Amino acid sequence: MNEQYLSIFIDESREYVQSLNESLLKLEKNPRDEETVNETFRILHTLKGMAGTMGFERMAKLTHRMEQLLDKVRSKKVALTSDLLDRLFAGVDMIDKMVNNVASGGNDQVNEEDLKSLMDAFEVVQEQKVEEQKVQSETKKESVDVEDSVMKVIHEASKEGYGAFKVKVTLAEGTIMKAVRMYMVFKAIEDSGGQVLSSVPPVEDIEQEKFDREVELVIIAKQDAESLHKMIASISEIERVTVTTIAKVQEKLKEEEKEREVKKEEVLEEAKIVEEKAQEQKISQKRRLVQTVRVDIDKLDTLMNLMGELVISRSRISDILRKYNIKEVDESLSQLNRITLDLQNVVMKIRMVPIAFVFNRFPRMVRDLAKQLSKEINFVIEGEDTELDRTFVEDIGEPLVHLLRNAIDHGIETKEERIAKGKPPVGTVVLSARHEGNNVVIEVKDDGRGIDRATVLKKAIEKGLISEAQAENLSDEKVYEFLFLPGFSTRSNATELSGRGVGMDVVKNVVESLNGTVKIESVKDRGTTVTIRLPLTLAIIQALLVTVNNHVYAIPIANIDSTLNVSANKIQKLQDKLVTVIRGEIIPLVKLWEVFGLNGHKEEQYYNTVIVRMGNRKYGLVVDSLIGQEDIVIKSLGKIFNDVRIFSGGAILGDGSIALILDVSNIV
Amino acid sequence: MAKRVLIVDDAAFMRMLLKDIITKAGYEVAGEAANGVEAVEKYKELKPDVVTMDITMPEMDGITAIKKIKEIDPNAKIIVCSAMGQQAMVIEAIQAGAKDFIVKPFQHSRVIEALQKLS
Amino acid sequence: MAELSEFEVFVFSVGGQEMAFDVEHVSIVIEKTDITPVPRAKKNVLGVMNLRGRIVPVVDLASMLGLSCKDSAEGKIVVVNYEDIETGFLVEKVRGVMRVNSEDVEKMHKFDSFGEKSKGIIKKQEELIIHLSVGKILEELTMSS
Repeated sequence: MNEQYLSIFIDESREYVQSLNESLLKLEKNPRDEETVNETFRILHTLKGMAGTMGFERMAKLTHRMEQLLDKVRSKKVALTSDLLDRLFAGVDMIDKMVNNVASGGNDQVNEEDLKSLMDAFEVVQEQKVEEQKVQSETKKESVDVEDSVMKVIHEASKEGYGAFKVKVTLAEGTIMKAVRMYMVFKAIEDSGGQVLSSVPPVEDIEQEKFDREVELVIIAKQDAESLHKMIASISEIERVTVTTIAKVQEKLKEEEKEREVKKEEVLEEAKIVEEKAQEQKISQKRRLVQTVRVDIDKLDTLMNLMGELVISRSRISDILRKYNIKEVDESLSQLNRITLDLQNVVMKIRMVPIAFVFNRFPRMVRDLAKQLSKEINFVIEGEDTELDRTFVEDIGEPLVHLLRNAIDHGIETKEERIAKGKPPVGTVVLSARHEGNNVVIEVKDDGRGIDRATVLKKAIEKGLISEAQAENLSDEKVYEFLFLPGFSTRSNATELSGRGVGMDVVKNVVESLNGTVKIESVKDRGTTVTIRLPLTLAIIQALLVTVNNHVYAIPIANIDSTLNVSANKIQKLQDKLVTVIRGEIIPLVKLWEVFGLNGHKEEQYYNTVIVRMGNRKYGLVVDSLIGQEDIVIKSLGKIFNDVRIFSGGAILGDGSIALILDVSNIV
Repeated sequence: MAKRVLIVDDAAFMRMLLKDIITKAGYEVAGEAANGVEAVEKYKELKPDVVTMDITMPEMDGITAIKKIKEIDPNAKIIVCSAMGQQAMVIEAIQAGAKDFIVKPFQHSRVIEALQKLS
Repeated sequence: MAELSEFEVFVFSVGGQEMAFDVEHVSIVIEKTDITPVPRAKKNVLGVMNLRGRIVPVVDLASMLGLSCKDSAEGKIVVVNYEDIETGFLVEKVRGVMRVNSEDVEKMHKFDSFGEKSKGIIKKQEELIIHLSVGKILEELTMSS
């Protein structure tokens, strides 16, 4: 199957897996929700079709089984027990695994044993269905026919101007739904006023596809053989049709023949009623359909780059015009400025996606985790419509998993503990997102036991991070910051620290790599709130432009604490390192020209210094001069510079020159 | 003039696939619809020569859509697209007026055959 | 049956020597422009330039090949696009596209100091042109040191 479909297949499958999780969660709350049962059925059905088309047999089979199970639920033959739901959840996980395997370049191969045991779990329901079918076919076999009866009808009919024909139909090789194809042949004959008197194999077998490719019919019709041939041959997937006129007519008839026809119609009629019911339910479904276009993220990046070029060209033109003092174009120029700015905003907005893309998978995770830990959690999601840059979506998931896991595992107390504290027995975890100025703020809030300040401090003193005397005066915020240090909290003491430690350094690292910040607030026995603050978009950041040896460099504002002028005599050497003391705080200084390996920089009396923050520490970056703050578009420097870790990228400035962007974490 | 086809399927993936097959076979895709309601509207608007109609869709399913389209235009040529195991529904769709059916996973030759038979 | 195939190369001079890239990799040639040095980069990398809003690395081809470069202000930058990555090479003069018969190409001898960076020598009317491998050169440049 074509590569070009693969990405859309993966994207869409993932969306469906997400919807399946949502539906099953809904069903867990209300197993009688027919609308959701139908929705789940429909999604599985669509997935089945997609998987089959891509040749992913295992996925097609699995979804088929699940779909059949849902069908049983839908027709109320099977009750949706929590055991069944668990199996369905496991099935969804399996589909997810398959999709992920496909996405990472493989196929739908999964652990065969796992798949088999899962399939067997659905099989139990399957067997019932097979039995039913058997019963049906037995009752129908009573009406199997003999030739005599046919001849009698033919004779009767010939009196009314009907001709009798033997029609041999051969279906094309590989015909799918042979029964339906044959039904179309029957229907064509009947619609044209004819009648099928007998068939080999019998109709019942045809209906159940118990035939290879050939069917022989005896029919009566008012047309001639040629037009019959033409009519039947016009049906798709029919390889060959032969129509022979039956000359000899015998006189015998059996009532059974007609009876059988009636029966067949009844069966169809029944099917119709079932379907109509299903339809009604479907119509009542309300699903918001947004008109969207799928765009490759690379194309958006290109668009963003072109946007950058446009901005630069514009400023170059205005520079030139200003030089020649051409006033006439002023108005057009300012209009151009406005349009470019608007365009830039629109392009940025296109890159934004609702944070629901990230949040969606959490209800399922929280459910599983709560079940596993035997805790009751009321999980609330707020502001899932909040939009953020597409680039964040992939990265922010992992830290949020850490935070939610901490909140549930260690934050929320056991039911008994909560009751003893006089708190509601069910713990609440709120995951929320909102815009604040040029930031996206994401919060994970629980009403659990909170962080015990004393325990954290004890640990910090043990580790020699602070003295006991210092510990006394430390603000809560400072205390909690210890939790972000790598290895501060290990698994063994995670619980006693209310778990605010497991992977907190990971959380901080990821958030900072996205130019964001993270903060912890906590009140004992009232709960903990972790707040993540991200810029609206990654591609454009605010930076301070500085010069070193006549070249311009950019320092992300997110890293900057302050700027100041340090007098040379305030700089001391401490173990070979330059430091200065600012408001009692010892701050290491880094002369950027030395970092860059540039020699021959003369000594100055004052040094322009940019104070940056990395984790809990401050450092001073010494530069030649400060130019000012500017919004810059980050561009990659390319593979050749992969080993140059002191720069995270470059930006093209208004005059067309390039400013390298400092990766502060790799400098200090 | 190339026959104009309206593609109806709730999965964008399926629409893309069909569109590809159909255009490669020299037909023109007049439009696409993601559910029955859209299909009926698009049919009125575009008056396509042929419609490919998925059965299970949100809002309004394919069979209802076939009936509605047939009410508007009794001569409408509709091909039902079904997944395996939907025999009963395909039969119903044919009773509702569909002229042919194709089964997912689609075989190119089958899709083209169905289009040609209707032309 | 002798296989007679023709191909096109883009010929330029570096360190007084005629060299060539396969023409399909050459996307554009520009006049030497402002190059922003990137501190701590590999020694043959001059820095980055602004090519129509894109940041493109510029490589000193002469020094990379161990040749002394005549430092002239009027050099050219040959921009190649290889596997979607753009890289600029500073050269002295550009001669243009030349059609070459594969039988005119001789595999280099072992003593050649260019190693795999060269694919062979093109002999054309008493002239010797070193046929460079863009892929190998970029491979060496992106190798982590």
